[in-house]
Amino acid sequence: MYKQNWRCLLPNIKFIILGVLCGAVIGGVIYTFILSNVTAVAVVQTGRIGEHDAYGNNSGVQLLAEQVQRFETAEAIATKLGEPKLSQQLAGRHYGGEGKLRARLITDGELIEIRVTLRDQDLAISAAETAAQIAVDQDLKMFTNLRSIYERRLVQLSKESDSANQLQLGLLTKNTLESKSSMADVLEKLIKINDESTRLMVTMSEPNMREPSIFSHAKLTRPVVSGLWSAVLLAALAGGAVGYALGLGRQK
Amino acid sequence: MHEAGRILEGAAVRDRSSFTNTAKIPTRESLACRCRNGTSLLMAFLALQLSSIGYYYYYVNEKGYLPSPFIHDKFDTFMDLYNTMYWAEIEGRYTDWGSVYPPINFLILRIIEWLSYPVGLVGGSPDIRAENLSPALGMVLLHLVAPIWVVAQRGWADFSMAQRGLIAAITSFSPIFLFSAERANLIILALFLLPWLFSEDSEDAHPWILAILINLKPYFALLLLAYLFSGDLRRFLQATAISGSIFLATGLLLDPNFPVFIGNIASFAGNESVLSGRGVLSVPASLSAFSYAINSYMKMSQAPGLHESILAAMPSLIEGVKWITLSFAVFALYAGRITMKVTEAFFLLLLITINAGVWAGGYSQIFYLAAVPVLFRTEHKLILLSLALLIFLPLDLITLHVGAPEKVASFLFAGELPTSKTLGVVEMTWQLGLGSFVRPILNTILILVFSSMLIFRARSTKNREITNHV
Repeated sequence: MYKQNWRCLLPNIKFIILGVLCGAVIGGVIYTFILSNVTAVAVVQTGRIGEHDAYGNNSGVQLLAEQVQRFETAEAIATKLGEPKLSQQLAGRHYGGEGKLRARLITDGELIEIRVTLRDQDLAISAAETAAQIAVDQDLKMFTNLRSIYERRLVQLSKESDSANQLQLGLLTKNTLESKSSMADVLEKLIKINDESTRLMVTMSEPNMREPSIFSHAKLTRPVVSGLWSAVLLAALAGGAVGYALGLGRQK
Repeated sequence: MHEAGRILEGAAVRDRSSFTNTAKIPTRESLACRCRNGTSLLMAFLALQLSSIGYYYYYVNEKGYLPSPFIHDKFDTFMDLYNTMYWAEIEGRYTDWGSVYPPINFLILRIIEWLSYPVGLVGGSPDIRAENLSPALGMVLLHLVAPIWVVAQRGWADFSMAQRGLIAAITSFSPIFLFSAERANLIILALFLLPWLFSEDSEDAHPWILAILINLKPYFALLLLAYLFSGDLRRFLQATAISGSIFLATGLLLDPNFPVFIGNIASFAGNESVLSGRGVLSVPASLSAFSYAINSYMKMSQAPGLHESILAAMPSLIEGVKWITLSFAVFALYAGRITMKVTEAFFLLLLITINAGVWAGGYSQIFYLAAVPVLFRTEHKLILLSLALLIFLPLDLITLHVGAPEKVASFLFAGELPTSKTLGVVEMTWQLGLGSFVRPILNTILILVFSSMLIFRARSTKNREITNHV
């Protein structure tokens, strides 16, 4: 039923060979300029106290991700690793760099993924790990500030509780109508102090409080197409397919 | 078989070229009269479309969000573009995001991104939308240009210039096109290529065009079957080889994890948690939208006795009707293979693709515009074109059901269209319009009429030729 003679469907070998050769060359070029780069990924777990991140609100994690991509962070990494060229390479494109380091929020802002793409795999791992450590240190500063505010408040509440207890003891010894009225006020205050203290202590204990840390240390990703030969093979296959199609188009 | 095949093939060639010549040759006066009537009718439809535009504009100004059939999530305006553009820049598009967009889409988006964000993307996809609306406005502009491009093709020579202009305007302002523009989906790019696929002048270019289309939207791969049904194995192999090589080449250029795309697309078709029930009822094409929405409702509802009610049986019943319709269409492709043009097979397979499930998205119906010349040259052009036209009309202005009010974030709230960058909370009531109910039925009728036409044509040709031969 098919219109063509089956022989017309046989490939034109010249076109296929030419396609395969062109494809292989293009595959080699693509590998050299694009696929030979390696990517190291580190994941940072941001600090959190109760509902708030270490910046005291719920959008600070995005700010932290941006800080990691700044030129200053890239310079710090470059200095630490002794590779001056990294400062230009790693800084985000919107900060005047080449954007080889990228940080983005994952799992609804609980974690920040840091990706570094470079040719040298050891350097990529070191840069990603250093960037993660800088992010943790930065977050830890904010986290410590926030925690100290909570701790100071707890100390203050403890003092208020002590003074209220003293007042209560004093009122108990008097046993007058006036003292009974004051006692009700003191008890109400004690209940409020107790409630706030309990809430703060729950907020500052696991799992509600979480110190910033490196969730996953820098590791190289393993892409599906990673080697030179797989890239050349796939590109040669693509070239061969185009050659086959072109060859068929010329068949009578 | 060979003798009969030759007879039928000879008849087919004559039939393919003589459908428009079988009727009595009309006089110049009658043609002019028909033309005037057609133009007047089109002007009336355009007035209807413009009134719907006025209604949408009033609605946005008054309530701060677009009514149905626009997508239920009012914060998500243009996000088909920005979500995808965000992942064009970020690695992990196939491994983390599980994208079902072939690599060529991300390469196109990278070009758009380089032009729109010279210093790179900052923040997530809502941030990049807030930073620059010009890519989205560019997509909206493409939705206005694409119909003009389609009607300007040589295949539309049967229509007068005025009629072409009116058809382009009617489709541009139709709910289907407006819905697609609101999503800012890259699907519009396919409409620039489809006229060549439905043109009988460029058959040698068909495999190349089909290959690019498959790489833009993978469901176009089903159109490859048109070559198998029409017996053109050479072009089938050509299109398959070219689409495969485009996929490999663009994949290598984009992302070393591009082979993961194949697994993603295989799981997407069967994944029922990707879309919401209200989402699929926006501008549905397939009957599956009803079964999908009922299933979604049944999963969430706590109403006692619901699973024993007639509603529980409806999804199976609806799916049964759909599959019978699609099977009939496949049978028509087989039965009508001798007398069928390849462009007709493309159109029927496109209908099958769009109607097979909710995954193709209702906005795929924009492609029907490119197939108008194919429908115009058939025996039942009046019925087929009327059905296609009905699909594009603002049927959703008639509301069938109104949901309970709810507070939602709306991107368009602030009354500064179209440059609004602010985000506000509005009280939104979801509506189910007549279009959501009627369009899948119209699509089903379109498949049935087109399939029947192919079968009857094949039968009548066979009978006529056998009679002549005897």
